[in-house]
Amino acid sequence: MSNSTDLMINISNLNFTYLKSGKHAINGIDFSISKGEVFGFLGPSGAGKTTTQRLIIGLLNGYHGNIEILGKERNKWDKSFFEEIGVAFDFPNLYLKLTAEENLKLIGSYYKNQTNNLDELFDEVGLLKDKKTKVENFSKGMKMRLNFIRSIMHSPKIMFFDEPTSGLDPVNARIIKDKILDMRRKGKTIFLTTHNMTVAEQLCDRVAFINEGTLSAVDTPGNLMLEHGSAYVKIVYENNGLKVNKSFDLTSIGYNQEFKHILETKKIQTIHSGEATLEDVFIKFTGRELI
Amino acid sequence: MRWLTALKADLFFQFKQGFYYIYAILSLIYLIIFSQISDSVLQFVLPIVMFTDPSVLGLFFIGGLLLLEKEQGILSLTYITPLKIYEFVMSKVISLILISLLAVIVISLVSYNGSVNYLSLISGIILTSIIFTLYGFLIASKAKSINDYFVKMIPQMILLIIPCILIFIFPNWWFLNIAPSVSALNLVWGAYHGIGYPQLGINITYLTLISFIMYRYTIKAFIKGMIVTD
Repeated sequence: MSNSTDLMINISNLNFTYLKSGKHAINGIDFSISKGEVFGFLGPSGAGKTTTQRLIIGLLNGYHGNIEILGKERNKWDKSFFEEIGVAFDFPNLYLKLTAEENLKLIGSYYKNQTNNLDELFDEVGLLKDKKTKVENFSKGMKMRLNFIRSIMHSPKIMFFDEPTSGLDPVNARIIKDKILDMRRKGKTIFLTTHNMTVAEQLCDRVAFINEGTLSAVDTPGNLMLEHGSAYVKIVYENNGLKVNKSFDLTSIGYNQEFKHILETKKIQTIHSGEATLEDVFIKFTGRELI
Repeated sequence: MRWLTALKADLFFQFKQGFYYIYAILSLIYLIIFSQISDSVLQFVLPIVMFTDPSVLGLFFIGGLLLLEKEQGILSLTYITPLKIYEFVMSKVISLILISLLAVIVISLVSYNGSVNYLSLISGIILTSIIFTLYGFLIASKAKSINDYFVKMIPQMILLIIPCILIFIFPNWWFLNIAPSVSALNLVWGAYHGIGYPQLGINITYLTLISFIMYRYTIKAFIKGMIVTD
């Protein structure tokens, strides 16, 4: 873990209740995110992911507890806060009647830090040849990619991405994931909300599980899978001409007499070890699936 | 100077949405009709048209603009940029003032040969546009969709226009001048019928004060109703 001077976001005892519905959406959560970290916020729909993100960004007010971001309490920040952060919602916010280039120029003009090379950004997400096309003629995937570069064009220190690969085909999802990893290499801090386990495993240094407004675990995906999932060894062998599948717990495999016996006496076809997936661990913690 | 950037953005967005084509066509229709009317009749018709232009169209346009931007997610997008809310509101108001002023001045210059007090006309148009646009902001803050906006806006608009009709029927009902719409009408009407400096000063001061109060209230209502929830 990094030391406290590297802390970009520090949340402590955060509580939030929606006034209209009276729903207690966030229930005393704590976590912190360090500089250069990709932090995944995982949970099913309605778990409190987006509410937490909107509280940190400032689109929701009236929270209790602390949201310290870049060393300052969230409600003490003025609009200069948005020079420091970049946000891409899961719904692409764009001017539909304008071209991709007009969109970036127009929105970019609100920032002090303006990029000089829009073409490079377009090229990185495969939109260079479409930059003169009106956004209303874009596919969902194209809008998502444009929305993504819109959120990073002013070189913010912290980025908030909500389901960044939603609606993208595998090739374009890979482009976005690579771009996120590239930003991490450049020391950017990324807060990513998703219910996509694969994305979380591939990108996040640490993940937090949220369910019904409560955090149940915060750790690296590797640790969570190792400590809370049961690893196994799956073996396929021949027995009297028949193919047999058998799984054994990896932790006690060295003492398992049946496993030893199969290895010594049977013709082995395949043998694989496996770890629990992040989704298995999530279900173990929360009793809910990530849908 | 970020508000200037926002103003440019608004003018560009409104142009791309086709708002100016509608405005140009309407102005052209006015010009054609007015070319057939004598100056003595125009002296009565013109101030009414000049007054309804920034007020009614201001109300229509701002609702359309805001809810169009809301539906496209532009309002949330604008909020997560360094653009301040007052800069956002100001640029919208100024963009609608500019379009109204341009249309009114062109129509007045082209179609009317009588004398016009342009100080009274311009201040009247600017203040009418500010008040009605801010009023549109308030209604839009509570509207869920463009249709909902118009359902909510029309009774409010009638409420503002009724005192303007009453003042023609009962010119001695001085208390009608308290209505901002009547005060604004005084300025525009006065531009074609003569207006004394004291009356000009009183109306401008009163409407400026109302604009300021509405502006403060609009910013709060707008953030609460359309962007930040709690």
